[in-house]
Amino acid sequence: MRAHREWHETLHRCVPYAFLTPAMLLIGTFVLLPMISALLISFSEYNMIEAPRFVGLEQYRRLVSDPFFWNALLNSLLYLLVVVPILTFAPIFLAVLVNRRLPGIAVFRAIYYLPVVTSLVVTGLMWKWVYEENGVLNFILQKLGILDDPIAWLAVADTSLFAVMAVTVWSGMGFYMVIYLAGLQSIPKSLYESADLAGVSRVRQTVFITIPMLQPYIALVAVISSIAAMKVFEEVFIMTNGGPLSQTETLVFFVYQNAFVEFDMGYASAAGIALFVVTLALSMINLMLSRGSPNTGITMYR
Amino acid sequence: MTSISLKGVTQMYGSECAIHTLDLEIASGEFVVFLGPSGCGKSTLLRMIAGLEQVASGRITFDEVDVTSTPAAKRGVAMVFQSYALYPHMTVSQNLSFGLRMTGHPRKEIARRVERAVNMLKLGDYLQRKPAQLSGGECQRVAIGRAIVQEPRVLLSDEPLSNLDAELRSSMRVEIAALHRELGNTMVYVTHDQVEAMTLADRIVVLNDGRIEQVGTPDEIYRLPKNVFVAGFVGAPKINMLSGVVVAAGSENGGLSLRLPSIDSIPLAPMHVPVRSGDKVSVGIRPEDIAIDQSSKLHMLVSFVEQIGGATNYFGDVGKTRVRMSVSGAVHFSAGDRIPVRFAAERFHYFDADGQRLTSEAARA
Repeated sequence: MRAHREWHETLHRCVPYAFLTPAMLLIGTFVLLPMISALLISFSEYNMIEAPRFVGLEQYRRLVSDPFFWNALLNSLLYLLVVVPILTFAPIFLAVLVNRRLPGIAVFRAIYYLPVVTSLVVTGLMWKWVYEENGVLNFILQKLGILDDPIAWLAVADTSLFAVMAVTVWSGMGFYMVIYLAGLQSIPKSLYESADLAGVSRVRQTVFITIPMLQPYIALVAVISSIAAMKVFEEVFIMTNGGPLSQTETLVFFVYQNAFVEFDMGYASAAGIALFVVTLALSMINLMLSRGSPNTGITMYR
Repeated sequence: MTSISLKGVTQMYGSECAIHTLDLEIASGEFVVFLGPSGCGKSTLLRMIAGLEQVASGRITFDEVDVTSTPAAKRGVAMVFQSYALYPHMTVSQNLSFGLRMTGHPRKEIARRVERAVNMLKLGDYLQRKPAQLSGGECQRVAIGRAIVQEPRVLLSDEPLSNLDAELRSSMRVEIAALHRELGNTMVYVTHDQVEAMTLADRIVVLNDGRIEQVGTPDEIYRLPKNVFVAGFVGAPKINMLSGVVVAAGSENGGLSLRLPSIDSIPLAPMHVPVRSGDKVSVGIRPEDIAIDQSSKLHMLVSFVEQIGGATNYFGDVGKTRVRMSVSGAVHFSAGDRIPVRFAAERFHYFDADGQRLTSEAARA
């Protein structure tokens, strides 16, 4: 009887692990294993044909002295500095705008969200045409009298990275808008009604009620958009292929170039590990900052 | 202090009529309670007075000045919400002063008003706390405080106590009554709780399905319900409503009694009957107007007993008629017992086939 109960208890303890096993197998195979293997490969020289040869920290030494790596890292950080603040704050106002009860507002919401569900390859190609010397952008700017001569936005060193950033912002805006929209709709209407009765203007309501109430969502968007900014690849690959003169080469693109164009797997893995460390550090900073934020819990009262 | 007048006010939601053409006068300094079941339109009416909802037609005046299209902020009203509507990211002190700070009141004036509210509602210990650190009752006091710092002409409350437990509700009722005495401003209060309505109101407005069923003092509403709905909605346990035909029943009891669909017939009081033989009527009998009387021929078969402290409620059948009886004191009978009962015929409420009260001045004199 006792043995039966013990067997039953052991079985009971094993059940959660049985449910976790499929997910653990998938994550182990496609995430953990490649991560460990990348770490190991980063200590070796490996061209995918010959067997890997252990070289110790040589790849990291190469990385530190490689100006192209530093250029890619700086481009990624610049991406982060420009794109993340825009993607963190601009969608709030877009969400406030589409949160109004106006006729046909659902159509606007759908339009703003459209770039999110469109393949980046498609949007990349589309924007490449927009940015052409005889593209729509130059046409409009010239018509408006802002430009005298057309600019090859993606071919000029000064504008190329910002032109790519604009596409990232354009295609990500709708996604973050939806997150903020969910946040806005979780704010009780009575908070605004109470402010209305007290005579508080709509602008002040947005600044003093909406934005503080959205703080947990702002922290979330900041983390997600930072990670996304560090991982930018498709836009660069489709629109500029890292050019002109590596001006738009980001860290992920640098990894791709070394891994699948140069077949320098050891070096690419070392750059990948560097990217991992930078992203981890940024996430930690974000997490610390958002933990330090004042309590704005949506479940407000006990 | 401000008087409020609603004339021909209606509200539509699409093709649905939420408030049917409605007239109401609220005197300056009066405490009026809108009472009714969920969905009867009481909150809608309150929000229309506040200016949070536009009226479909009709006029609202404050002190005879038309405010129908005046924005909420300019009406001089403040509101206490059911959900408290406190700003969770602000401290109690910031919550209290928020409206005044945002509308450019001088700092000294803000401090004076906040201090007054804090003293009145005993909020001194919580000023630096955030709403999440307060109990429900404390939150409600802050919400009331935030309304009164506005020094409103009219203070509106939308079921402010419904999220509190019974004990807290009872103590907050006392506080709200005291607050009204102290402030003296016009108060309109929405509730579905008849105890709140009866204890707080100068006058109760009973609403049902977007219409006013009756306006009166708590005593009038209870003693002289205008129709079957009011009689049924106010009073706990619910009034017994017996439908039958008035028949002649000999000289012993003045000649009339009520014949019910079952075999029972109940004698009617000779001096207080606004009906004639042959009338189809509904008779309302409050549970406390039924008494245990050993000499009675009528018997109640008890099916359920409810002890509520000072009184005992008996639920059962007299013949085939379901009856609720409330007797003061402890339990003397249990389920399955047959109790001899007497109906206090002189306290019956008579309603016609449309559910409207049949009046007889003599009946309630």
